[in-house]
Amino acid sequence: MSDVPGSMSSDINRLMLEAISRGWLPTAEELQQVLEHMARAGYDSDARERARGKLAGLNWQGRTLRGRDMLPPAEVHYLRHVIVQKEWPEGTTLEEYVQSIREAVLNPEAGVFVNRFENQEWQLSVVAPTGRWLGPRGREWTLVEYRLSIGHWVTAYQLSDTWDMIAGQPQRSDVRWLRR
Amino acid sequence: MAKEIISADRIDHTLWLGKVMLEELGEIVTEWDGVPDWERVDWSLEWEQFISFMRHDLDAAYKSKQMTSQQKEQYKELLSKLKEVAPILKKLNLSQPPALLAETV
Repeated sequence: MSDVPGSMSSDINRLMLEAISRGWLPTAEELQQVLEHMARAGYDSDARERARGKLAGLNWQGRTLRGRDMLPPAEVHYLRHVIVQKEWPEGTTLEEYVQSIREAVLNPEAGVFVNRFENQEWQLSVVAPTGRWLGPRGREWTLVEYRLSIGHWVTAYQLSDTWDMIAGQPQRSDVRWLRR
Repeated sequence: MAKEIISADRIDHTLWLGKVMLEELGEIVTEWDGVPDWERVDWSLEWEQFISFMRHDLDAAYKSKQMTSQQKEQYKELLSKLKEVAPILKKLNLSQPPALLAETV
């Protein structure tokens, strides 16, 4: 899902990780470059994730899913948030879901903060207005989580909480807003 | 301030989601240390979304009397089950349902 060569992408990621862990506050131009990198990263197409109960019984690509089935993370998140939870408009395709996440990351109105999740790895979190991607059970904000240690998105979904509530979730520490 | 209308579909969906998340919690707690780091983070974030839905859909609908009697029963049953798993939520550092914290129900 990334169009940056693997070695270059991991170099950018390593530099970002070093800079963020040292308390770096990027200029507007640097932040834009970071966000463009995050937007390109996508979900990890080599990983596989358990479908679990939420997707059990769903028909997908000609088969009925079981909770123990392993799928690419992009498909798991698409099925959860677009098909089952209807956060995105009816008829949104997998490609459009991924594109909508890219748009959220690059939205100049989005809030951006770094944080450590579970006191461990650093994440870059983006909270953008959902706008045209609001589905029947959609919410005001789209949250995108990027984990620096893997260089990919971890999740992207919609919710109604305020930015401070999202940044204040109990698993997060060392929260630093880069733009709000 | 005008009362926000919470659709029956949204209430029913979040009640269903609560049941599924509790089933998934029962499963993932047994494998928590063996699940890849990113998948654990992903599931924690899914839980936070569910808690957000509880706050905005279920707690709000209950307080503003927008639930049917059947939905109220299901909501109370869900809260009761969430109360039972509170020690697990604490152990995994997952958010507690707001209604339980406030003891409003």
